[in-house]
Amino acid sequence: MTQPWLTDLLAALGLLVRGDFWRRLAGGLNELWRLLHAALCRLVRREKRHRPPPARNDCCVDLPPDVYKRADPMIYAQYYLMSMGLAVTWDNPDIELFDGSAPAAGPLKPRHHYRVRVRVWNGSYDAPAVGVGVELSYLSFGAQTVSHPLGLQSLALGAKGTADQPAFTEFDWETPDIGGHYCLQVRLGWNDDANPDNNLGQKNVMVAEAHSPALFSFTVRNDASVTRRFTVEVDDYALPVPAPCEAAPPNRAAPRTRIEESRLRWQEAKRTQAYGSHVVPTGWAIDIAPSEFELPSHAERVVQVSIEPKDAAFRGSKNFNLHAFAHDERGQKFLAGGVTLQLRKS
Amino acid sequence: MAFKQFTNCFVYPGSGKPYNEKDRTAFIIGNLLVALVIGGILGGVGFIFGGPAGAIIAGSIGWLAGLTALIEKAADQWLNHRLVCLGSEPLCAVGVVSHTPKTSDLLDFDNDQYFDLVLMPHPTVAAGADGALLAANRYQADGSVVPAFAKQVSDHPANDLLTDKFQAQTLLAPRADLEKDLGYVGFTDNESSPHRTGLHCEAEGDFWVRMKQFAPVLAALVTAAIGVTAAAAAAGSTAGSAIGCVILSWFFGPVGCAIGGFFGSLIGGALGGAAGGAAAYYLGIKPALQGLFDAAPGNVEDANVGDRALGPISMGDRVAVLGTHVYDGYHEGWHEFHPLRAVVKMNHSDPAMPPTPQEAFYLQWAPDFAGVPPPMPPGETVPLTVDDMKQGLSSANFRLRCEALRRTWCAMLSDAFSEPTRATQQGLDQRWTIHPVVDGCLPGTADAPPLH
Repeated sequence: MTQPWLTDLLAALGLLVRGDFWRRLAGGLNELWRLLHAALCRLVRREKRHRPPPARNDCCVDLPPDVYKRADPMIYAQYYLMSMGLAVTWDNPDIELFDGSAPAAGPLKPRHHYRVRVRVWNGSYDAPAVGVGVELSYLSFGAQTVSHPLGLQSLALGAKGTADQPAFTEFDWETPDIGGHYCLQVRLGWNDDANPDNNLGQKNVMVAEAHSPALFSFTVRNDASVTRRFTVEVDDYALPVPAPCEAAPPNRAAPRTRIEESRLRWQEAKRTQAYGSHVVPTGWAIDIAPSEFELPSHAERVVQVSIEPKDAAFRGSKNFNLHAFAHDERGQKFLAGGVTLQLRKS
Repeated sequence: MAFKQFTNCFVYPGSGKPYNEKDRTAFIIGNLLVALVIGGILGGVGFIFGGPAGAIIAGSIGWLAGLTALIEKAADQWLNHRLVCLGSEPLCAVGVVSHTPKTSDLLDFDNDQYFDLVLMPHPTVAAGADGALLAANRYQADGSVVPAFAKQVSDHPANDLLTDKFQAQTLLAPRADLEKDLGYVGFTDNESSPHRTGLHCEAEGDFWVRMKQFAPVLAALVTAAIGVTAAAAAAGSTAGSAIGCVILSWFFGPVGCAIGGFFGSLIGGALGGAAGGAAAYYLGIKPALQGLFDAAPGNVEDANVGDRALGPISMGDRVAVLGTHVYDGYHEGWHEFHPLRAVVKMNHSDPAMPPTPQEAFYLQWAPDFAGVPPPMPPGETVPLTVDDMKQGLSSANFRLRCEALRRTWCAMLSDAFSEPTRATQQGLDQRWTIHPVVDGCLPGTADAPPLH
């Protein structure tokens, strides 16, 4: 049996006839020279080396990001999407209202039991989220009106690509004494969220038959402590019809990383779905009264909207999105809320 | 981006005893002797063919090869013969992040990052070094439960850590043969090194992979450092000898010169060697090692699809972890997760506030519980009572809830890393970034090109 020291001896001698040993030696010396040269240059230029200090604090453990995973619970979140420059609809695809087993449409009945189903997605490929809070409330119909909590539930959300994603939860809701239209609002709660901005979504749809013209009204409320100016804008954005995945442009170079793919997708969405690029077609007459007004603190105002197709032969259904913006004293505007108006004519 | 794994665990006892820190000195001395022998042999051959110059060149090359072999062997031992496999599949655990007073540094020759976990449902208390959280029902040096929890554990014995028939027993209780043959960290280390009552989790760094890669140049650096030290010692010795001779010859003539020269050469040689050695270490070897140590490859943004920067995990966070369950034989020996494959945080709100529905997904034994028990997670039908909370794992309902919670977390975490899920995630229909209805597409049959 070979002695260990002899094995070590032969292994060391064997190194000398391995090209790899000499290549690594040459490469290492080259790298060493490069570092020395860089250090000398820094010394001559009196530059300091920018290196993050090693984590030695007492409060936290810095884990490599390839180990520490963060879930990203999300729903269709209008405020977030518009803050990113995208057009939105207030007919939220992740919030569904059922009367029995049938989808509820039109004005809601007073003191009636409905079911609200919420669909939650996870933007993370790696991190599940067990115990995501789902808070449902309704707003008196309109923009920035008063919120009334309806319930709080939790769900277990798997990572992207698993059977537990998307996850669903349902609420029972008995409507108030007064029927009509209500805006449903869903807020997700997850402490360690990769993106906490995409957790708030609203469903605010109003349906009317297209008489001549179709009339809608909704309330705008100023929930700030100062008087603010409001403007109401309209567009006809609708969620894109999903194309088959195979229809992706064949010539596009495949992204090398997920972050690169993510950036490309944002660029593409901003190119095709930017806010402001979905102007109302010329074949429609829309009147908003008033479209610009001031509201004192905590005051409300009813906005009237009339919509009429110029073509009397119009049949079918058409959606318009009204967005209320609040303006601060510096002229910056913030999305205050909105409603999707659905016009039907049979 | 996947977690990093550079180590491989091995099967014990089939593949021998693990590389241990107590063997390090003998290992280095033994392998240095081998390097000296090789240097000597090649030096002799060099002398025959090239005289003194040939001996120096060939001897140095032999020494270099020997030293390179030493570093490579140490790296192989570290990477492949240090961790004993405890199972074939990665395991999952749920618990509270303890605390780490420091991360490993260069002197540890280990750039892994780590934390400890107090496993669910055991309660925590800030009693460790620098206020680290430890299991409140931990043990004293003699193996008995600490006095503060002795009565509670005695009243509800199923909450004894290492016999809880739950996570702590599964993941921390020593494997009999390993404890008998190799040892297991003692109870006395609880305050500073809570590996007996907490799960140690390490995310791997690549220091030893780089050490191996750069072994020849590190050996060259060490050789050069030895040369510099020897030259400095010789110069110091010469200077010291001259100075000693001059000083003592003033008093005692030629005899004083001889005595002063002798002692001066010793003192000067020692001082010169120390100065040369220090200069070689601080200007050559340490910066090179530090460079290898600090190299941290990886792309931060790959981990979360790019919406937000990642943050730290803090003491007290409730987490679920996935890792390879091993016995770390390099130290005194303990069970740990190495490498850590994934960590996710759980929701939890202010403990002073009433429990929210999100609180339903973690349980902690509280012998003095007073208040509202955590709500039921979806799918649960049996609510917990105050008495269940007081009994902890001694309560059948409490135990069932704990097992269900762990199962839920572990199934979802494992699912995220399973091969079918990874394959599904490569589909174009799963690659949406903003929202499926905004930038998604309808799934088809065509295979998508894989992402790196």
